Amino acid sequence: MSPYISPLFSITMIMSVMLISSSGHWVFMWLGLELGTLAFIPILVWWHSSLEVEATVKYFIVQAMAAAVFFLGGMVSLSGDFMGGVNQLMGNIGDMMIMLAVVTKLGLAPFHYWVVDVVQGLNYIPGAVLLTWQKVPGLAVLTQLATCNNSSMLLLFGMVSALVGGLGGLGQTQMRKLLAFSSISHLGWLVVGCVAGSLLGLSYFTLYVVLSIPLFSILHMLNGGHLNQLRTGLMFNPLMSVLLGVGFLSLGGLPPFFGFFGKWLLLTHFVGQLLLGVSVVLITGTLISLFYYLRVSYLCIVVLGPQQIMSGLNWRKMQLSGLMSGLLVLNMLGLFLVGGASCLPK
Amino acid sequence: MLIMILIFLIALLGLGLSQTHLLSVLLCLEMMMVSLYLGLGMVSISGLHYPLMIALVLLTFSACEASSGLALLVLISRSHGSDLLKSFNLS
Amino acid sequence: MLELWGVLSLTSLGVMVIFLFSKIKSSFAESVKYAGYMNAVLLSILLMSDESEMLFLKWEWVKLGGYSLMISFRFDLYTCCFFVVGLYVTWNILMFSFYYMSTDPRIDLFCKYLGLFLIAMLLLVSAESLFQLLIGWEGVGIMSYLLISWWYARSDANTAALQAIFYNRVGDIGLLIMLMWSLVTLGDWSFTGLYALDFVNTFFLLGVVLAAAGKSAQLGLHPWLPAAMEGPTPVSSLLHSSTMVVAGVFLLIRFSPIILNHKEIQLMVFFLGTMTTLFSAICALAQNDMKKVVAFSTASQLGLMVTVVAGAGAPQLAFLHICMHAFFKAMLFMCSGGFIHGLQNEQDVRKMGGLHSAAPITSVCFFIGSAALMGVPFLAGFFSKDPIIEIININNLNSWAVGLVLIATSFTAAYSVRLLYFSVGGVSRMLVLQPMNEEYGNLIGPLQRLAYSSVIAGVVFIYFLSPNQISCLSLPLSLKLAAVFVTLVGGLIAWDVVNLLHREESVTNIPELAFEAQVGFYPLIMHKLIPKVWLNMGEMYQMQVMDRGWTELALPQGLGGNYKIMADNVVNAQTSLIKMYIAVMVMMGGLILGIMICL
Repeated sequence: MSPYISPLFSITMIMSVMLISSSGHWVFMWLGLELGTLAFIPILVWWHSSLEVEATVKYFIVQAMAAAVFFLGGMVSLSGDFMGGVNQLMGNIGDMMIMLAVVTKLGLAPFHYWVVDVVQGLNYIPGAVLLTWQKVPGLAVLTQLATCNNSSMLLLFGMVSALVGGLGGLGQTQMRKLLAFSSISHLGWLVVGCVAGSLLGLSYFTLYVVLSIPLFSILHMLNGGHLNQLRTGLMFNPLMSVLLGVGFLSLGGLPPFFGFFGKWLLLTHFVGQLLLGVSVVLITGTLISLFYYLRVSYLCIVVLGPQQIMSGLNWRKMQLSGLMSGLLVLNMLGLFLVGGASCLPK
Repeated sequence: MLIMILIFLIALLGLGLSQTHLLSVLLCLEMMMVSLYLGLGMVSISGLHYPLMIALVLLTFSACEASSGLALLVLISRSHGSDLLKSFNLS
Repeated sequence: MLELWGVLSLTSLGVMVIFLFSKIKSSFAESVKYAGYMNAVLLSILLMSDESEMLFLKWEWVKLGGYSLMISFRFDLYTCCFFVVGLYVTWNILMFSFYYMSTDPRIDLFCKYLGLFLIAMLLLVSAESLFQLLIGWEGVGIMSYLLISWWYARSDANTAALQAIFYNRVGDIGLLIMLMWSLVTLGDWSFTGLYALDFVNTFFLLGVVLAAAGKSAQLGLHPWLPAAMEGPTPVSSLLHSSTMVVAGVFLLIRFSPIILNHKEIQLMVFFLGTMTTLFSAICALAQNDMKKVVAFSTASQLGLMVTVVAGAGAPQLAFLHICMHAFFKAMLFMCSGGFIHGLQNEQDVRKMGGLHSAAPITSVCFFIGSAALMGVPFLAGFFSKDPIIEIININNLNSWAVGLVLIATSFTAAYSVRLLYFSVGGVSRMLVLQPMNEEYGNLIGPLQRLAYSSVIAGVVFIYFLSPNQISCLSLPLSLKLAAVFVTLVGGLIAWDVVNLLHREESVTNIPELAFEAQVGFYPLIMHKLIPKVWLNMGEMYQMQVMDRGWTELALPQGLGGNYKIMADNVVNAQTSLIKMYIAVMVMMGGLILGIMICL
């Protein structure tokens, strides 16, 4: 595919998000969602590899189905407006359909199956876009829906997501699947944050994006899909391995690092709003997921990989891009941010 | 209106339960879209002042969707050799 | 005038600290000497002025919110006397260590350690607040650890150092209790504030007793003191005379105005002291290691000091005994160091004997020191020990304890005479051709200086130091002579017994001496039996039952297994068949909608 066409798709994706966030009506939300999906599909099949194509097909089927259900939900609630007596029920069913469609599009827990497969089929960079930027339209809809009376359902989805994200990654050795499960787990926190307050969800999402984009880019540079390949690739860039280890610990929410800050911020608000049971389930899920984060960090930092005699450690050839150094500084600043945020008025 | 919803649900069940080929999946999706189009028309007929322009937009987008679905069908039959859904298990 | 001399004294100490870092090893010893002179002048000025006068030097150190932490020094009679004695004794010990450690490659570092040890002790003594006392206290503790484990390649030395630090840590808990209590109640750590309180908690005083018992090796926390003999002899000499062990007694002296207002604590300290003095004296009777006998005699004397602080309410006498004891105990250790060095590191008294001809000067000094220790009239020990025993005799606390002190006093004479008999007197039992040589300036000089002081210091101190505080006693002749009498009896009995036992057939294993030789079985019980019981219990309950039993079953096996099953379920759902996914999603959505409609 011609590279000159990619700006078109990117701009369309950005425009779709703008459309959604500026619209107050479900039709335009639907429009935006459809636009985003359709513009993203050519990017997914950029290299035409069979894995990519397969992943794209799965992505397409699920998204198209969800979009149709979304529209149906909108229409049901619309028809409820003029059907008289039962309109309350119809409106609720419509809202619920919309919510289920959005949840499917996002890949929250009971509807999360496609995420893992799709991410596994893709390269790291489209995967990163899928797990970060493509979440924005869905989340924009969700923040407008979260204030509805079916927010308890969203809390349930959030809790299940955190647990499934934690459990699913336990036995994974594929990096991309691991990241997909991690994203599901974070999405659980995110959705609960959206219910507790849309600004909270937004800040947690920003934090997730800031943390995961550099990790995806480092993994893209290393170009290893499996944990073993990861270690071999890291042999030649020690700084990168440290960055990756710290980044994963941060993603897991270990206290000195930046990722902890987001979880701490959310938790204080959950506890303030008496979402105690939800907090316990979320923390349990995160605790389980910490196992695989720790395993990756252990592999990155502690273990010395297979080594040929002639190959020295290339300490001198380290390349420190702005992205990575920014990540490192950000991770290390985590506790300061906590300290700063705790000074803010509640 | 209820008939439209029923058609949609049948299509959805067809999507979920009984298919072997990607083509039938695309057909099911198209059927869902058409039922939505139908439903939109019904809503407009039943007296709600709703811009019929939306129906056109829906039709356009469903056409777009269908065309990208067909493009993907071509791609996958070239890479996998068939459009059987069971063969999509590489990952 | 007084302030000027106080500042000058501190300045001299500061110069001493500077010389601590000097490359020339003797310069530090010289600076210690001159600091001693300077402080002697300060002492004499203090004595010439009104004796109740003291001097406080204070600077603000840190300001913490509303509370400002002060560096404050308290120059009263105790501090000034101790400065002079401590500096004088340490100077001699430093000179001695040039002789004793001359072949050690790290002798410079050794001297620095000794200097730091001394400085920490001086800080402790001159502290005006509990916090500063804590700094000196911990400094003394850590330096004792470093010095005892100086020959770190020997496992015995390491064990002894660890014992010292552990037992001291128990005592430090007491000091921390004091700090906490005074901070909570008083909001301040200064002694003046504590003295001004009209009621002091028992808890605080228990902390004082615990701290003093740990540092001064009172009964129960005593085993580290004899074990500390594993360090080099100069270390033992310094540790047992003027630093470290007297810190606990000094703490009691500092807090004696408070302790004496509290009858129960007073009685407790009294018993602790008497038991310690008797127990250590008994243990000293059967030891064959020369340094160990001297060490146990130190413990016994410490017990006597503690006794007199509380039992007789005469902290001045205890302090006097500290000073006298510093002179002759440092000298005793130096003499034994000289013997040990001359005999190629032989410490066993059974292999000595007849040293009076091989090393006459050292032997004479050893004799003077032992005599002073026994309290032979008109030597240094007499002037402190005799008033102590007299004052205990007339007190009305507990006649049983008085009896114990008298027995311990006679035992002092007994083990001193035994030690003298075995090492200096009698026939030679050492190997032939021992290169015994005492013609070293650094050995003879300090020995002579300390011997002179051991002879005259008593007269000087008793003359100058507060004659009106030590009440002139009028006693019946029998009680007045009690101390001398029991000493004489003890010495004679020891002479006789040693003569009796010192035959080949009787030097075999004597079961009656097992208690004394095994140091009251205390290390066996406390260091072996009880830890073994605890270890077995820990192995049994914690490790077998819990760690490898129930905990393992519940957490790694149980919980982990459950997680594994759940994770398997989650992953098995990822069949990568899009048909399945959509079916599941549709059914799930239908289910949720159905539930919602039904509700």
